Amino acid sequence: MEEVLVKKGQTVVSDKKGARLRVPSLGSALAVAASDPSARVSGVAVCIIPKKMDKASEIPDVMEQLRKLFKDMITKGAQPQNMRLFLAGAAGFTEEPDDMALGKRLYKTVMKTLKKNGLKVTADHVGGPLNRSVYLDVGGEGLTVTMLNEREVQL
Amino acid sequence: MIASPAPNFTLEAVFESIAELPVFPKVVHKALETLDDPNKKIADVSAIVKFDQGLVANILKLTNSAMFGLRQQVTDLDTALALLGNQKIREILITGAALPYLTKRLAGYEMSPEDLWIHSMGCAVVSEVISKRTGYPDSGTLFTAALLHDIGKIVLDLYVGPRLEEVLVLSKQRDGNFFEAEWMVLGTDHALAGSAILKNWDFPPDICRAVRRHHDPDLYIQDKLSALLALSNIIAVQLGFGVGADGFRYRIEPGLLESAGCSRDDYYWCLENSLQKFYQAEDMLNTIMK
Repeated sequence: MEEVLVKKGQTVVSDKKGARLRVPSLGSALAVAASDPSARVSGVAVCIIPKKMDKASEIPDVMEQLRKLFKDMITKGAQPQNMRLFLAGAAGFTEEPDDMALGKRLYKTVMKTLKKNGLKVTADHVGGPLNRSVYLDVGGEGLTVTMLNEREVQL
Repeated sequence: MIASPAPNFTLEAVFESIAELPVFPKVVHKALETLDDPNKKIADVSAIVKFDQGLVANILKLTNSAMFGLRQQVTDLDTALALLGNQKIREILITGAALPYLTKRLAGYEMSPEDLWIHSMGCAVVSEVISKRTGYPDSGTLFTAALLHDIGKIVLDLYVGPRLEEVLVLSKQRDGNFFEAEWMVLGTDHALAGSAILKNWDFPPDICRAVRRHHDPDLYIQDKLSALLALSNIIAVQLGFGVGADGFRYRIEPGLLESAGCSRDDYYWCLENSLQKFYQAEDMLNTIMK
């Protein structure tokens, strides 16, 4: 099986049969995974910057990443009505001030953008003090979430 | 069959383990003192460290990485030190000497050798970005504290391991605070153990104090270095740099940003730029582990 490592700030879409997209150690980053099983296309955007603060930075923000994710999904043959969407990550500290609640802010920004575009989330596993890793088999039905000291979760 | 003796969990045993740790190379402290002496030259630094072959190998490995940024490949110590500025030499000396400690597996905290190394270097990378953004004048001290902030875990690991489940259950009961749970189960915590190790290794008191305070919200807001170290560690965890079992199980003091002299915008700017700088340094993080 070919495994593609997806880093924070990256967006990867694939139609390669048998490939697996893997995102390790999300921290407060939020993985937005999309899959169209009938078109056998899957992709993931690992969002870490809610809104760009430094124009010179090469790390894209949520808006740029979601735009790329859906554009690339459709280019590779995915149909919006068949797309399943999953969210995972956005971990937070046990107690954190709103100013520093990166995970919560990412989740809010992503949900707002999806809602604005009429897209619904099929399932999610977000928040709490859990550092998650995820993987997605290209063309598969769902997203797998793994964590230290917790059971693996299939979304 | 003879049963193996029960592990000794007394506080005395923990501190005996600290005293038994191999000492931080004296040549590094001597080299750092030489760097600070205006009457000495870079050649004097080279003369001090050149006989420690392991250290020289690590210095060359680090010098040739993108993080410390020389455009040409360097194969001898004299050239490496001549091409780097004082600040970079200082960072490389400390990183090179700390490497053997920061590439250990910490089974008790469920951290692989890669996790500990990536977390320590990741935190040091974040600290550099924060220093630059906030104009903190003593970025070298913050870099050292950030690199070594979790050194206490290498000793406490032996004790946390068999009781990790207990610490985690207790931490969930205590509003998810790992720091307090570590204290309740072991009578100490990795920040205190780390501070004791650094004191044994003759590091300056301000670094020992910042390491001691890096998880204690009531204490880390009381001085700037501690606040900046706590903030660097928090950002490193948020960015997912080598997160262990304790990772997010801490409370953040609401006044932390203010104590660190950081606005909300500065915080997000540092997040963004730390990730970018970390990616630029990634070659070193990977090659060191090979």
